[in-house]
Amino acid sequence: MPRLLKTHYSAVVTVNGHVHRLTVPGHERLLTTLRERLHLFSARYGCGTGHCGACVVLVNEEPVPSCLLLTVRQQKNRIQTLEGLKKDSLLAQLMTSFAEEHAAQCGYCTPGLLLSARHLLKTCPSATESQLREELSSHICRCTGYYAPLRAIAKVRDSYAVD
Amino acid sequence: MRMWPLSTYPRYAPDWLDLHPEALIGGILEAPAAPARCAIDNLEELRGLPGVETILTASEVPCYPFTTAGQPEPEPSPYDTLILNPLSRYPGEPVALMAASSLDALYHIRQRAKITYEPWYGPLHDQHPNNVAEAVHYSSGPAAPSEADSERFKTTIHVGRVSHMQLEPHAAMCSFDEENRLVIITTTQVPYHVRRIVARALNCPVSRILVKATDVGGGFGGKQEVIVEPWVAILAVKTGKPVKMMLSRRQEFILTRTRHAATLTVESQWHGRQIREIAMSADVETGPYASHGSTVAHNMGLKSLPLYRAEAYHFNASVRYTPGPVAGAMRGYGGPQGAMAVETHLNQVAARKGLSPWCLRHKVLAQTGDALDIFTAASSFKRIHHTNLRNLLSRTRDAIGEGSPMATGEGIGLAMSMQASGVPGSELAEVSIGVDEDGSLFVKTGAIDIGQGARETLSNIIYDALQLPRGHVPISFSMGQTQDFGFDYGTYASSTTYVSGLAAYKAAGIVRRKMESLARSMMRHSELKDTPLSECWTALAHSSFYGPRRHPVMGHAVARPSDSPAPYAIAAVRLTVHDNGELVIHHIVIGVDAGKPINPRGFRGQIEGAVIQGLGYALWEELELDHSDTHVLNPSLFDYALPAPQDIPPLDIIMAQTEDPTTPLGAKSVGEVALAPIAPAIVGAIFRARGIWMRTLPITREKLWNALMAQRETVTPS
Ligand code: FES
Ligand code: FES
Repeated sequence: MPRLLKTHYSAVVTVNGHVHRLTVPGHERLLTTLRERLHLFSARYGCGTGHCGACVVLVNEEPVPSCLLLTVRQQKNRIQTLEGLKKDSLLAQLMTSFAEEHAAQCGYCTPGLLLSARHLLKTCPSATESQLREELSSHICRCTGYYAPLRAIAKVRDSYAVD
Repeated sequence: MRMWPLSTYPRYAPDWLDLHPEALIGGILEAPAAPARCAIDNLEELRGLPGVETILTASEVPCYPFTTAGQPEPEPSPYDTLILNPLSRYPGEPVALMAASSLDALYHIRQRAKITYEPWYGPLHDQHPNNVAEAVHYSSGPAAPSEADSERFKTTIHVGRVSHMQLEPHAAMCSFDEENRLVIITTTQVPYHVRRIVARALNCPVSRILVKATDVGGGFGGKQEVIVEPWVAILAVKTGKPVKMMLSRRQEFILTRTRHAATLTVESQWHGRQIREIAMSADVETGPYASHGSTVAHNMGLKSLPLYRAEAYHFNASVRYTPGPVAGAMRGYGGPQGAMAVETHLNQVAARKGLSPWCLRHKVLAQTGDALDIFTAASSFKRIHHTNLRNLLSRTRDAIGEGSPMATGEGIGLAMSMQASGVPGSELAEVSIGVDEDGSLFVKTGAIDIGQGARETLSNIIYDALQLPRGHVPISFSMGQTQDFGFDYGTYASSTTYVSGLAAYKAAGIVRRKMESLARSMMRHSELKDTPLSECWTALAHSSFYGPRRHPVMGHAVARPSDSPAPYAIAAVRLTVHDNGELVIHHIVIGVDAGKPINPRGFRGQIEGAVIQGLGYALWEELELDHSDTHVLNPSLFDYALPAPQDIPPLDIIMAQTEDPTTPLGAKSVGEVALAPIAPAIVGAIFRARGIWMRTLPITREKLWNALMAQRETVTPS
């Protein structure tokens, strides 16, 4: 009978303003913790290798694929998921614009797109079309061909710039 | 507005799986090589590992052959697979299924399993000694047209395998309800076929199985296959505990389905500008299990040849069992392969005849009233073309700027395609609509919203049929819950609007008539003033539950159309091929005739998404196999090239303002049609830009560069 090594560690993660003290395997990814332990389903598995962006969350306000992060290394980070940004006005505008443009077809990729779009418009409110595309290129959306999300984000950017 | 897909409540199958920590985790021990007979040498040791609940091998699971293709009975696909096959026919095929309490335990099994294999050199299936799953021959028109003064042309093209790459992987969970029925939560396009196919694989009645379809994170035909469901079901049955399984991205690439790779040849005989005879032959690689192979092969001919008028049509296909990944249904369903062959052929003929591709198509396009079903027997129902596409063709040509001056290396290409609106003569959808006490509606259907906007489309149809302003009352849907009824053959073949939509329209008509009669009788008894239905709707609904004439209102209707009108797409691409092989697409114009758009935003989204998938098919995507044609070489998103946002060209959509005469809705389908013409239009544009024909998809930069080099060498010999 092989002996399984002791693999669990205590971890402190701050998600959407709540501090969670957990005991997790050393290799557990943040994506798993968010979904299975905290039931935050806006981070989604698409590849597990950092290529699809479906699992993107904000780590200290930066969009990062949570499938590449180890939960035990997050004690100093502030993590935000879509669920925690319900009151964010920019995000609300983006969501309305996505809904109007039919930019979420299956919707699986959408939380990631929204977080990246919000990040871009925050850091660069008058982002050019090519910056928008660049930002979205860390996400795969198989349904829309990116047209509708790009339109939706550009619409918010334009109304933002006017305000 | 399409707000609900933005919500983060648990709605996809992976979410439901994660909400059930008590369920065992299912996994697969994969065949390391194929075709081969694989054995696990240390099975007993593995079974003793901590956390391991069960490991099932081929001899321990039921052996009732079935097909994974989600199609109605009588299933056109052969029953050539088992839950576990003793002969592994593709690398990655399950040698054993396992269930354990944690992912770590599964990992330990995988690490320690000693899987040995003995290569197999015989035919993949004994019943098919030469590995031909099916050979198809169709002919119509005069047997041997006269040869005098006619010209002959021939084109051969090859299209590769591509992956659906739905972002959400296949995932399913099987548990038990209070009556010990199997409850399968799954992400699928075909809940009722899942139920029937699992029942067949386990040899139990369908009533023992409940399927709860979840929201689908992208389907594209990949979830018209019943892949994981029989696995979790048998694991649950054997362990007596709930079991869940989600495939990894790597497994998505190697053990789900692909679009069929094929080599197609089109030959035609012309008399001036008329086609005497056009013949297509297709060599289709269906992978080691036939799945949708034969129907997809049929459609390569049936979705491409009828666009053009000819005196005689011939179609031959040989569907071959090949090692390597299994091919299946994928957006376009034979259409992309067929269009690539026929459209490239026509573009070549035009070039040889010194005509523009537009002009040639004006001459040979089918007319209104021409047969769509070119091969069916005279006695059976024959579909016809209901529109003349020439006007749309001219509008597309003007929009792309054909005739304007071109820079060096610039060219414009044209191609067309058609699809169906549901499987002709093989559709059934049932929709029930009830009015709740507050006037809101609940709708039960087997159709699924896989991103195409089924909810908005069906809602609009229902509001219009009830003559209520859109959005007047809330509508809630139960989609794909087999215990709720609402039978449906499933969400595939672009059938939702035409088939399920028709059922919804009829059911809403019944609801309207019942509400009107309730209103009339209430007015007779002066319980209600004479107001339009929309104004007294809530009051009526309330009194249908609590008033003196109470009788809750429900409408139930079935649609099983025998027709399946064809939507059409005309793609025009303007691009530049640079000397270094770089290809820049400046503009795509797509003319679409899909009848009346019921949900305009969704309509547009379907076209845009299909165009980009078509672009990926044309230029980048390919599931590559090793030298023995078995192992997938690029089963990751790092290696499998997909269109990126930076690659997206400007796209204009031109809509033909038509209404389909075969349905009261006036709408055909739009889900798939825009994908197929992109690749041949690009091929045509490259020819007009550079004078070379790229006959193999995808047209990677490397291939293009090699072709340009070869051309340079032939043109200026050193
Ligand atoms: S799942 Fe993390 S990037 Fe794909
Ligand atoms: S909407 Fe389906 S992947 Fe983006």
